[in-house]
Amino acid sequence: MTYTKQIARHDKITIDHTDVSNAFSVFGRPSTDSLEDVSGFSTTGVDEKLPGSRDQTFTGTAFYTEEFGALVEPLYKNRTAVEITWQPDGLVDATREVYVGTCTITEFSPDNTRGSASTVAFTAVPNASGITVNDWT
Amino acid sequence: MKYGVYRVTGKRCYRGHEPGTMFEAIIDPSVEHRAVTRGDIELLRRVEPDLPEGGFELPAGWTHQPDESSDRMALSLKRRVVQ
Repeated sequence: MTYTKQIARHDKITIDHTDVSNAFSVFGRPSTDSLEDVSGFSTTGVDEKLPGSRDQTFTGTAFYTEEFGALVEPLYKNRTAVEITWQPDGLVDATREVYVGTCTITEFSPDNTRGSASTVAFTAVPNASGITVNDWT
Repeated sequence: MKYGVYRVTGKRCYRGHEPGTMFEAIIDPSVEHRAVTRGDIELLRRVEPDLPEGGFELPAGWTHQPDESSDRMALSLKRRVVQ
């Protein structure tokens, strides 16, 4: 069996319902579960681990402009809970799955290097509902 | 329930609506306030759906007509009980 491959070029990203797709060049949803050691004495001596708490975020890198800063900086400064969505290939395929969460922006770090495009590192953490995925088709 | 009629005024899509287009939506007041403050949308009007005064009548024959025969029967039953 073969799987379809794709080059990421058309992702749709919204922050507080505003389309910011064109500002981002990198976006993702890291999600990792902690591993809790529940090893007891055993004949094999092998560790036994169980998945513990789940840590999810939206992270990305955007091109920094005044327009983008005016949208995101107030949300970051005020720690406003806003809806963030990420739909891989969503600009050209509305049927694709949507990652969505009500999030607080915890990192907004504009950074300039002489002669290079201005960028800003972006991180947002969801509320207790986490980041869910809708519309698997 | 009230809803709003909005126009996308910024340069970016809002809720999937292209700049310059109008849309109707029920938006949380705080979300609406932020979007209006940012200049992403403008509120054109707020609408509360209702029926205009005198603008609605039941179709002919749908209203209840008192049945005289049933009224007479009820009266005679009442007399028997009293007797």
